[in-house]
Amino acid sequence: MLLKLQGVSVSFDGLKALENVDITLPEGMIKSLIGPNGAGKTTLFNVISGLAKPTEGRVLFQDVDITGKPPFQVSQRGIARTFQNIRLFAHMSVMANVMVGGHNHTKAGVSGAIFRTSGMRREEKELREKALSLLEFVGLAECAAEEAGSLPYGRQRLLELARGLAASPRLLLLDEPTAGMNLTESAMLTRMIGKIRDLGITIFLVEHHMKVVMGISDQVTILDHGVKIGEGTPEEIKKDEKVIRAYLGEKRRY
Amino acid sequence: MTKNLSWRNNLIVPFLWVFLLALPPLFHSSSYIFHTLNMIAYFTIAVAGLNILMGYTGQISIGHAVFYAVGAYVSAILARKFALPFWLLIPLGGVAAALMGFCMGAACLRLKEIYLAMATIGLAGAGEGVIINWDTMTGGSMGLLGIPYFSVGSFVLDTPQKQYFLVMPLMLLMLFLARQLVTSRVGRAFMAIREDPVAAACYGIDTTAFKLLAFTVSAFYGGVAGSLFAHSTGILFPDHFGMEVSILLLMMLVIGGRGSIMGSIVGAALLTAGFELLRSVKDYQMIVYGMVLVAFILFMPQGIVGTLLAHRKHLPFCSVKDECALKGEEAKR
Repeated sequence: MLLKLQGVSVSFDGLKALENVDITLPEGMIKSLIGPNGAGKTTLFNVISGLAKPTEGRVLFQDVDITGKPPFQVSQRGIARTFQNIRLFAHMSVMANVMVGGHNHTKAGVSGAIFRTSGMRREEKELREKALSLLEFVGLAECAAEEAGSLPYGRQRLLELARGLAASPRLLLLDEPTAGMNLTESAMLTRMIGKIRDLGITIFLVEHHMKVVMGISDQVTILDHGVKIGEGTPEEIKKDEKVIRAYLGEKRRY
Repeated sequence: MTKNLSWRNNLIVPFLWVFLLALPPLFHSSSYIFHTLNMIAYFTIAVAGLNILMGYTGQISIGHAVFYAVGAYVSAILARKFALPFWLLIPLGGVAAALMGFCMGAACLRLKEIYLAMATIGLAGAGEGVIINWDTMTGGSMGLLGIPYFSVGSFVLDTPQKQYFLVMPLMLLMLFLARQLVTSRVGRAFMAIREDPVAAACYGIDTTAFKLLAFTVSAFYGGVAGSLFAHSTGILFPDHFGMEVSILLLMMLVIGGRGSIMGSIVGAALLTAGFELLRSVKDYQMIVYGMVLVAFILFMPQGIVGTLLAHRKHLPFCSVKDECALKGEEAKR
């Protein structure tokens, strides 16, 4: 198992955001996490990436306990993520944003920077090439020199994706990657996510677009009020009474 | 082609600098002009350091003159006691300040924004207090006198003109080093922390370590500037390092441009020269300064260099820009 959550609970001042959640994620899978607003999806991602500490339970990544490890250490183990409320380095160039994504795979420190050692230059060149090919992959190569914050919303999401990929993660957490995208854009992103999985990167996805979720997921987990209420293939989920009541049923009102 | 261009730029720029620096000695011989130019250089070095901390890493320091003071006093006291050569005194002043910067950074690590600002003011105030009260060591408010000038062999740098030839190249070196640092992986990490510490941490950046590094490097710059200053004036007073000096450094940073190493030189030059020009209206000097600062914050928040560069859509990692713009065009074709 690549990722294992065992009995994870999180409470904020008595409010239970997550209650005894067990989730396993085998290598090479696309798993979606769905649930109504406030179900605890982002909190779950925060627990995995080290931004929130679980009050109970454990997080295992490649059989190593990473519970409560600071985010930079979690990242170094091979977990990258995107953010629901886009967290780009707004005043840096698109290129520099992706290059920061490769921080873990470069080593140069102060002396490398000052003396421009051959190792440092090689590393920078490789990182730059990698970043450029990733920007081509997400279709942002022509805005590489622009300020990240000046990109339109949909493109900022694509840039977050490119930055995530620059970390060459084993596991990529995507927090509502299609939010704010139009249909064409989200269809394109869906295809991209499939391609990323084919590269051998395991994907854990929080998503509201049912079309995206049902189209690409190998497995779907449903959270409601911090509790896992169902899990299975997209087909199984569509039929699950509890799920329809808690989630899809509620969706119809919109 | 791009490669060719950047290569040429790399050669042209240093020559331009050398040319510019050689100009004043050709046209002027007055000590006053050279003293002012040297002051610009000290401030430029200190502001470049402050820029690394505030402009690049986004950590506020309002008491930066304290590092300037540590560098100056440590270097001066060592020189008086042990007669060390300049090439040891300058780095020692820097290292002493860097140590203090490291401790200060460690103490303030969890503080942000206004709280960090207050803590740095407090520490700077404490530093001033130490200088005034530890008079057996620092001379207190009577001043530390008889600091030896730097000397190269038997050649004593006892006039601003002579000092100019040590100070200016050193300023260029410090600016060059700062630029090397901020255009590297380390600089990217600094900026990422400034932009979004949470996202930076999620991409493997140890924000604690890099903030400490920024504090340390920044203080080192202040210390080097202080050491140069001490041995050119020969006298140190606590007044040289008070709150006004910290504010002055901040103003230089804001006016020159946060997040632009070259902005440091512009800010330092404008304010130092402005200070000299406004000597005739001494009482109103601070009023003018205050108004200028407010105007900059309102109308040119990115400072002079920042604004100029913004018009050219020029971002840090400019070499990246050139390359990518080119590749982008290829991609479009």
